[in-house]
Amino acid sequence: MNKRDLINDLLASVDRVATGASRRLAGRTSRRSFVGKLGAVLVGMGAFPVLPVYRQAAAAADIPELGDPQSCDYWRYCAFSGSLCSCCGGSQTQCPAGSETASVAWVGTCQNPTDGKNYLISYNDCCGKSYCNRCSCHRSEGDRPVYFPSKSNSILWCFGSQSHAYHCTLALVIGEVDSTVAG
Amino acid sequence: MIQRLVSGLIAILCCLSLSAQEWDSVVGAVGSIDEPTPHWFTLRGYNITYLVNGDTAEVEGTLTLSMFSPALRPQIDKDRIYSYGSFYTRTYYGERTDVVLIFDSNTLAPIAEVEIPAKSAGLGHGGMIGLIDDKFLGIWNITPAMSVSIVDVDAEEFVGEVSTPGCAAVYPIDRGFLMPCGDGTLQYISLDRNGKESGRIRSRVFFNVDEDPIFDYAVPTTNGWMFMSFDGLVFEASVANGEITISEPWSIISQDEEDAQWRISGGQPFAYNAATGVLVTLMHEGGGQETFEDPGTQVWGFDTNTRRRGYRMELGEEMATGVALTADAEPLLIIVPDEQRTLRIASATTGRILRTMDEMGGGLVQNLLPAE
Repeated sequence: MNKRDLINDLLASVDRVATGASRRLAGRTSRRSFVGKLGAVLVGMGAFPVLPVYRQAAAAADIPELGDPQSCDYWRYCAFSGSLCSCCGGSQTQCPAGSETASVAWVGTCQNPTDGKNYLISYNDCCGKSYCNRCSCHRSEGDRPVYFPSKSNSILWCFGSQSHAYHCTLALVIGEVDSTVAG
Repeated sequence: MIQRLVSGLIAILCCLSLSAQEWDSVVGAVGSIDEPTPHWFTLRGYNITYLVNGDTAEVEGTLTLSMFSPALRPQIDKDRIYSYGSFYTRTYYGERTDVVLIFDSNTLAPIAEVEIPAKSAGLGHGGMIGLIDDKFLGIWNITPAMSVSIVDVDAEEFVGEVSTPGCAAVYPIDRGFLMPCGDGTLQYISLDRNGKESGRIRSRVFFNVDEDPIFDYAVPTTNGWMFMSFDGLVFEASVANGEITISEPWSIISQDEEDAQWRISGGQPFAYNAATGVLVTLMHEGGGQETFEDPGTQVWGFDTNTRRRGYRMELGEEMATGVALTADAEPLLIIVPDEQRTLRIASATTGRILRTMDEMGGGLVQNLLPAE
């Protein structure tokens, strides 16, 4: 699947969960931040914006990777904002016990230094518990105001979960970016 | 034995209170606050808001809010302060209820609430809630569909919800409100006497969200609202004769080579006082647009009549996340530290520090009284 196909799939999925939202609106939905959290650097992201993605669109990753998932420098966190779930009893792919994932998440493009390829990363919030407040990583390249939520980290993103109390955030690899369309 | 001691102590205290009136009551007392002046402001903390007298640098009282209550909307002439929040039956989980909170501005006690759709934005700034024509509150929602909940504050009733795709915040003008939109325009939605939408118009496209977006934060002017772009362009917006007028922009960044390295930033990055024409901006050196939320290291003060900078205030080691101005003709400048440190209160016209307050910081500053 190339990037454009994936974007279209993601937007179609978001339309289903964004009650009352037009397709145009859904395309502007964005990742979030909680109190004190700032934006995200999109290393190797180019012109590709952060986009909303329905959680079930995520796929298992089986790629070579090195690095410490409890460090903000970990390659998957290039567009991260919030507390790392890997420091809160979960991992970069699993919410801590007792929390729940939001049904809408956000995608950045990060370059994996191990194989040199660009991957789409879905940043899913884990919600329904108090703020973990450990391993806070805040970056903001490409961040935009809330009226352009597809690139805004100033919004609380726990949509679709039972509670919008923010706990921590995952970083799921959901696909490889087609080099022919990479921004 | 202990019971006897306690009984004896209570008896002694009772006797003392009867015989010596200068002793405090053993159960304490509950006060109310003084009449606010234009130099009073509020500072948002965690789940609480402080009411501060800027002339004395004293906390005069507090309001307890939810952890999803970004801002207040005072209506002091009606002895009320409004906010909104989300509440769960088990604090962080359980059944969610969103309400407009109504406080008595004298006792600071909650006196009423109005349930609204459980869609309100849990983070943000003063633009998340607006008092429209002294009659309606508008509360910005994101689910992620964007809309505004309208509440009649006199009837204490939820009126309805206005869909506002692609546009955020509530900046009231007359019986309606402006919203910045992702397509580079402002939208104005007018309400009828019952709080229902009676029309909506768009401005011309005046910014590009990819090249130089405006902050979603705006401050009131005499006739409308002032917006600022990430690169420091100042726009004033007003509504008249069914049209939204956007002024030609001017830049707070001069052609000076050294100035060109500076950027406006912060959670509350600029403030304007219409009575004096003073504009203050929070600035930091270096970086690109991605630093628009970074703390600032200087405050710049401008005279908007001449569009010239009057002062640069160096903040030293304690950086700031926000600046605010009181709305009167002798305005105070409030500088909010980026952590729970020292809040500074200065003269807005000279930049001279007048007072400081320790253990205050981090949150949104709002005026209790509007401009005259």
